[in-house]
Amino acid sequence: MGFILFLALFADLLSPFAYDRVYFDRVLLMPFEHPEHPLGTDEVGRDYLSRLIYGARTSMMVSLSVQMIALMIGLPIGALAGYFGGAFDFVISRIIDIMTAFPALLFTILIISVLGGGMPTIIVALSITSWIVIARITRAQILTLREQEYCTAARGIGASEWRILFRHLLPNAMSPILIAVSFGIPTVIFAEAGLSFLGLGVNDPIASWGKMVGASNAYVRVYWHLALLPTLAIALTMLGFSFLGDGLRDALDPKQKIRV
Amino acid sequence: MGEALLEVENLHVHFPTPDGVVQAVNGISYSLGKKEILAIVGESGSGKSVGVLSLLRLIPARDCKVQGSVNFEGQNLLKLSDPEMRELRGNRIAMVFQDPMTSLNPVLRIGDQIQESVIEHQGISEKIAKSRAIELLELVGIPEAGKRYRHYPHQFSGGMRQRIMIAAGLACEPSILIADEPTTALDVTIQAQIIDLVKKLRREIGMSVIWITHDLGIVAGLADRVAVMYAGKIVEFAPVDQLFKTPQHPYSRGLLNSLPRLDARSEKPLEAIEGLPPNLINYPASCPFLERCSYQTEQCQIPPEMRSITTTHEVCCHHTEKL
Repeated sequence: MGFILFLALFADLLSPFAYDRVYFDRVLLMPFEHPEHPLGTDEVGRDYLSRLIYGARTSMMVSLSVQMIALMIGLPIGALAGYFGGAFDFVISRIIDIMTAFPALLFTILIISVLGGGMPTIIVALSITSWIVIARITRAQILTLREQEYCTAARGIGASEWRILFRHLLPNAMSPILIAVSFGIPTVIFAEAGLSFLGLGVNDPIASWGKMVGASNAYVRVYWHLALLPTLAIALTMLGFSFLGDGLRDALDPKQKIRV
Repeated sequence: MGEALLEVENLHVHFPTPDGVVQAVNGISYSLGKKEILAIVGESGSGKSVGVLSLLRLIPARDCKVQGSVNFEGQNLLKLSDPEMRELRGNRIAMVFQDPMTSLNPVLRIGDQIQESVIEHQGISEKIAKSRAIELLELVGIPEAGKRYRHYPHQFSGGMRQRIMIAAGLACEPSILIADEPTTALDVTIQAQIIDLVKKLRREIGMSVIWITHDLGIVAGLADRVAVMYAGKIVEFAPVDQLFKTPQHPYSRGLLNSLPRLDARSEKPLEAIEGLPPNLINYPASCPFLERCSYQTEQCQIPPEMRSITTTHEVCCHHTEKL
């Protein structure tokens, strides 16, 4: 996981070639066929290793910014809905219900087809579906926490409602929210890969694992590495983030303080 | 005792529920003098906690209906605006809650929780607030206050947490400290320490205390006056020695008879009060204690009013002469 982040951050330094550098004389090389391209080249002669490394950057950029935006929208909305209740909570809850019932992939495809492709659009489209999860979890957390005795105690010493919500309740709610965010990251990576595979993702020539898998399907019978390598990259990254989520959950859950 | 600091008149707290209205508190009146310790005793569900929570309006208004008046320094607390009320809470009237395990926020350092009310109400700098918090920790007998200040609630025992909560309650030197069964969760040695602490604080900073408990032993050692509550009403109100010597209401007698006595020679078993308190949804039209009372007569079908027996002793029963 850290490795993927490292790749994403230092893609410029690590890659042997630029992701869009085209060698028309080296099209569709198998791995190790040419000493300069350890993982071969793709159908237009771009170094596959470099594209995989830049693909990490795309995945990280999309998934981290989507989860940041989701957190910034979902957290306050969920917290306010849970704490104050009433009409605002009703409206937010119904929006959450509707969005949950709607297939997220379909919804993002719809948004992308309206707004057009490209990285910013993908981030916007995925954020619109991702904040729901954060808002729902935050709301549920605040709903249980606001009945805690220390909440009444804080009110009893004269703390204002805002102070109670942001200083007393939200810090207590943070661990499930952080876990949701870390589980949300692989979901977004997968969604981005799926969209790119369908040709709705980032624009050429930016490298994206999903797009690499998609582009390879005409050649996959012979040039198997074109599909296998980005798929492996997606799988390993998702696994890494899932482990991170598990690890966070174990570390943050007070009931699991005693390790077996 | 002097003049009254807090006067509660005819306080009603009703909770509308789908099954009917729960009449948790039904017209209680009492006054609290300066530097006085008033104990409110009664069994579970008699309305003790609800009665004081509603003084500070800590029960969400959407959940209950509160009637009556609560006069504190010439203001009716039930009529104040929310910001005015917030100004009083913690500052002039502080509350200490029952359960030390759940009433402190687990993710905040205890120092921050103690100084919160000072910062909120007096607008002083963090630095002064910190030294004040450490002072308070020393006052309530937490050793190494300067170091412990930085610790989290889970690093303290139950008794220490209770003392931390008392420290938080005292932070602004309130005129009134309301303590809702603050020693129930503690063992007796810690109880004794906390009672001594409260008495000392009353002497030193001159605050009044409303102490809610169902432990008559604590009442005897701590309170000046006692209000006995039953089914949302005060059934007997007396100075502590009078209540223990000459209890007038059958319920108070029952409570005292159910206590073990060190000076009793006989081997007779402790007496229990038979039966259960009335359902607060279908509040009886008669005296609420009727069904459990061994002195009942025809007259008890009419609910009795509070009557003064002596200048300081009030009872809510028709049959005080016979007792």
